[in-house]
Amino acid sequence: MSSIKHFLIVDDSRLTRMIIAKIVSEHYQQWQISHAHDAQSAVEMVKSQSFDFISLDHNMPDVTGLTILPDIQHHQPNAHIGVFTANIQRVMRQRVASHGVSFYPKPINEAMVLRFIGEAN
Amino acid sequence: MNQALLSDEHNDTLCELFNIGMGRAANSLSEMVHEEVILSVPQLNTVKASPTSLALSLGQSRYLHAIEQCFSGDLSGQAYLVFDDFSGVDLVRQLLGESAMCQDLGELEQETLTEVANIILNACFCCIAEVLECDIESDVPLLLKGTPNELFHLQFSNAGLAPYLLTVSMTFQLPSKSIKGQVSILMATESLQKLIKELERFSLIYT
Repeated sequence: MSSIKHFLIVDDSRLTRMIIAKIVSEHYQQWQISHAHDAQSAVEMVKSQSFDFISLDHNMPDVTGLTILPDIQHHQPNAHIGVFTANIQRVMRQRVASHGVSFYPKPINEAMVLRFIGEAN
Repeated sequence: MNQALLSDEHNDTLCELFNIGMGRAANSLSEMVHEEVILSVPQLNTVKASPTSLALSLGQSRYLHAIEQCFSGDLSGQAYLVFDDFSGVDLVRQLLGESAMCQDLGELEQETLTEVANIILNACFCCIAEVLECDIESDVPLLLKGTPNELFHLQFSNAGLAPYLLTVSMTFQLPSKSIKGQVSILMATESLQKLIKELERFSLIYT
């Protein structure tokens, strides 16, 4: 995966954004990484920019990740999207699957992020 | 050393660790009650601990069920899972499949509530220990009942030197019932400084 990609990290936790950004930038130095700290800014970003990968948190203060997921999918039909969440209940996994996106349980690690990227191939 | 004790970064990291811990606990709880557990976004508050601040952190509840679990090792303190009013009773009835006929807890119900707290608090301890790579041992949980003032005047004497209270307000609710719980942690200044040191060491990995 040598071409330059654009990766959007949507998470209210600065820590999680830093962890994902560090892992992605270590493996793909040329990729562009953007951050959204809440659902509203994420929606604004997907309306105005193009992304190849989007990691989406669920439990955020303003609106949940799954609430904005249809909007994101509408504006970014070609993006590979994964929900990265601490809510690991079966019902949440089922909801995520029903949207046709991947589920990743926090805490986030390197293997998880690389698997998410690899799924797009 | 009040609000500035924990920086925004410390606050963010701790909130995320509790978010993950509570997420794991909610998963276990959800399997036990066969129902989805709705989690709020965690909010962390740090205040110099006193019996009054402990009581105030619990809001307007008239009567509480709190489960105290002491922890030690690289980090030490006292953790409380607090159920406001009769949330604890409602949760136990849901778990045991009984109708809420009375507002007091029998022996089996007390054991059940204590075990639920054990699962929730240990999920938080394990997550912090796992991510920060430190050792945390937890004692046997103890059920406390009473008004906020009654409960925490008793507990405050064991809190160590110049204690601080970390209040992680994160409610978990069952859609069919209004069950609310909150986690509060009492730590002596020395232990809180160890926690800050661990958080800073961890943050360095990602900066």
